[in-house]
Amino acid sequence: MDVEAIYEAIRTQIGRSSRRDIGQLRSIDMQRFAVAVGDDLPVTMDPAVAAAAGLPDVAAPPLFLSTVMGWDAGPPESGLLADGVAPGGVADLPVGGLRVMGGGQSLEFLQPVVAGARIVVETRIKDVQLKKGRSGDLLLIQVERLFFGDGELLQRCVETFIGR
Amino acid sequence: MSNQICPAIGERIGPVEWRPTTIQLFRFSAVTWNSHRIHYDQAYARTEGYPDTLVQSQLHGCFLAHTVLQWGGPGAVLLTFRWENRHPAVPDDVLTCSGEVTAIEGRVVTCELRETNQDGRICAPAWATVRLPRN
Repeated sequence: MDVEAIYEAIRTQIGRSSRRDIGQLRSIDMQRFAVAVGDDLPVTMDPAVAAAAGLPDVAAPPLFLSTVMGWDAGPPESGLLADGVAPGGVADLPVGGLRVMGGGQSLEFLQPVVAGARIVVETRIKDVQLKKGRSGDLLLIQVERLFFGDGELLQRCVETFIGR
Repeated sequence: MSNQICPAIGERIGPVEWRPTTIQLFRFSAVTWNSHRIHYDQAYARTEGYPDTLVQSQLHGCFLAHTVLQWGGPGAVLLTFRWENRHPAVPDDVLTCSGEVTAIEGRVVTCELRETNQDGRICAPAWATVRLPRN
């Protein structure tokens, strides 16, 4: 795998942005996320708690929007890569052949994310760095996502992906 | 912290123990529509040199974020949150999230956090600002 060639290909895409309507959020998806994490957040699980907090419906766990990897049906199994990941999973970047892992996120929470909101996400390729280490080359890719609910900015996320 | 009127700089957060399981990893992958085999296919994970399936990057983040929210009590709201994945974790690891308050401005509290495994290795450091509820 020529990591340097992939680095050069991604570098040309820094600043590229796209906008996508990911649809209306459902309370059951937020609640399943909370249950899977193992924390029954009252403001997510109980509409009465959300209402008492002045919210129109239950609120998403803080990392819900920035963690869900697919908002549509996705490809059939035959369309997945060998590692099980859907092609284009990292902001449509040409990372095929790399082993890509999440390296962390930096988040700003500007407004509550509530069930029923219609969400649009703007994705921008922010940066890529090539690191030469003892165990080989690796890429640090930064992708920024802005989540809007009914036109209002709700959340900003910069996620780092590590590609080897 | 929920019974305390106001935190102080240096106040401890946690510790809270999280014990990820194979079922938890499967369910987290399912609800996030994450089909990466490294999180549910042990044989595949071993081909990448890991002893078992890996805890998802974002699940580490959730453990840390939920730890600070539990500390803040009902009505606490995250304003910013950042974490970095430094060391992998596998099912049945014991992941302990803890931290301390580093700054206070009104109801907004800044915290440094970390998630360590049973060997004391830091899997993920994190930083958060939280708005605490009015008393």
